[in-house]
Amino acid sequence: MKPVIDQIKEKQGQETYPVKIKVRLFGLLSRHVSGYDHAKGIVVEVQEEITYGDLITLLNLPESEIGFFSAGGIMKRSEEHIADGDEIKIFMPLAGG
Amino acid sequence: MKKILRIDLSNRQYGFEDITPVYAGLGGRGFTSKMVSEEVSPKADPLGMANKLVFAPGILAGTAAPNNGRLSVGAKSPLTGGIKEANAGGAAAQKIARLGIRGIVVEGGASSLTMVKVTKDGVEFIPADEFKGMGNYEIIDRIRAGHGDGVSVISIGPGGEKLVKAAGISVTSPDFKIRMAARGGLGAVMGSKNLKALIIDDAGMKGVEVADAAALKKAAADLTKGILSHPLTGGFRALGTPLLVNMINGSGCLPTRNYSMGQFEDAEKISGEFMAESQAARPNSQASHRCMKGCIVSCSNVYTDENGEEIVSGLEYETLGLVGANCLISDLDEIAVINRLCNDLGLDTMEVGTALAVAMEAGLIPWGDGKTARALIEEAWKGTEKSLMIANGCLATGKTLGVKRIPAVKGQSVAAYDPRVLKGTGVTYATSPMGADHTCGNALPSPANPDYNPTASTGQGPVSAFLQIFHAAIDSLGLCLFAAVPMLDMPDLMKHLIACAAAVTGEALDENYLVNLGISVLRTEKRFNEIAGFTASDDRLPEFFTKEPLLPSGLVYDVPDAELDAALPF
Repeated sequence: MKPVIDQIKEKQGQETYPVKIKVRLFGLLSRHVSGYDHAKGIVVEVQEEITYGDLITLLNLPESEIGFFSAGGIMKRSEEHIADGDEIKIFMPLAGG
Repeated sequence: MKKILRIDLSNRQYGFEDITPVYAGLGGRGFTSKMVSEEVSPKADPLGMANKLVFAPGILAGTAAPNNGRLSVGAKSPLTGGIKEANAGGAAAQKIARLGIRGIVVEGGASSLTMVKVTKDGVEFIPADEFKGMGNYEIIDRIRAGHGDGVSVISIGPGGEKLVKAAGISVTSPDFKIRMAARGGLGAVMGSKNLKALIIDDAGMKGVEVADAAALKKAAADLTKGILSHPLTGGFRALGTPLLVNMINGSGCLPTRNYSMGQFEDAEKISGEFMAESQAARPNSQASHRCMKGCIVSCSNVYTDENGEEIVSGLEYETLGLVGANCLISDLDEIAVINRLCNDLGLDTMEVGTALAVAMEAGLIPWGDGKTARALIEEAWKGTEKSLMIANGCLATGKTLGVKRIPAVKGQSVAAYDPRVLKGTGVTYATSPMGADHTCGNALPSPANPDYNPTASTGQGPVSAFLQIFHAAIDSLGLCLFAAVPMLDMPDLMKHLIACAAAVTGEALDENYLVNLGISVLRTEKRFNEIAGFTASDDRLPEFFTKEPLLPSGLVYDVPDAELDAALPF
């Protein structure tokens, strides 16, 4: 299995893009990304700003296991745009206890 | 036919009664709240002889339905002054159900410390003077040694004996771990009756009779399949409720420094992901654990020290949030030791955690100093004034120390979800008859309901109301919360749950069953509190939540009062 960042670059078909997003996965989500290192997270480079929903498609994460996103300690919705330099956290669905 | 067991401690007498129409179809919280409202004056002294302590398994207890073993405990609360139901997992509920008992009503008070053993042959009163001041761990060991592995122990520690308002009631799991009906000071009610322990022994009993075993088998299988398909179930099995630490921190609503911030810089160090990794290297730890027979979630854990000695089981999110982040304590081992100490003394870790943070705000303990915090709680064995202040909870501590920012509603501390971000949960904190209680209806973002915005200032009342109704019904069925919450994302599962209840009771139950049941329970509880003297002004969050912006979101609690007043319109 190739490192995940290479897989992403292949999908993008180019080496680097101007918009850089750092992504960290929580709960059991990291099992869907081979070679995931929680300390480093994943750096995604894209041509232009994308939404949180686009990010899930890009990372090939199963939608049924995605609960919500946050950036800078603020919950985000899937239709919101991600800005260059944002650090994104992706979580499983939530229930309190 | 199930019976009600009534135990009169004053006269050391007991009797079994038929279930009257008033209690027909009620179990768990539905039963305890109805019994308290029928038989205890809302004006009664919670620690007086007129209060009654009621134990009730849910309607599904001991059957083939999954996760059916929550034990409801009810009384008038010494913490809130209102009606109270706290529930715990463990083995007791299923054993009480197998004994053919719908509920146990404990009345009066013994003249000296007493244990009560319930078996198929009746009730035995056992002098317990030798157990005076004994912690829950030792009393459980002693009872287990004397009465065998087939029993479940419901007990109080020194906290309950000393009548402190954060005293909970311990309930043992099949492997004699401690679960806690923690909230509302019900351990003090048990202590006021001089009842050190209830021993439930179902030896010689067969399974619980159900009206239609074949229908139950199918409905239970459908329900189980659905719950297992929810991604959260796997998450809870792998990481337990500590899974929530990073989630809630990421959402900016993890109580930090007595609810002055929504993110804890050391959250990762107390997270489920970190705990799983660090515990995997320690002998005898268990990443998943079942507290009841028939559990399909296994959310609990066994937390061990470096030598493989058990510190506590289980170490839960609320404890990590309130003893950890909210006190700026980032050492998992220290939090686990404080949790064990609370279990042993028989105290609610949530009330203690919030009280410690309030004491830190007052300067009594340095922020983040777990060792000093622990030493203060340890003084409760001797009953020093300061330790009993903490053991009387967050409100008592704040009042004693002159702290203005006290995170409590109706006298009960808020849970580890800041209501400024989770505003629907804030409606539940404000309006639940139980006081601030997340288990009465925690409104969280869900992919199944993408239109719901937890931070919106309006529209939160109906969300909280639905959840409060749903959870009141779930608590009455005896179903564990974590078997119930997947239904909120997969509403189709509710029909399987209703089918389970119909198969157990033999009643024809329609699709409105859960809603009607939940509303009837809440209505009973609201009436009790109204007569006890609660008004709309009690259905409010502490002022600081409405004035102080929570970082990093900058949100304040701004759900209009009118929406709070209209939340439970029955």
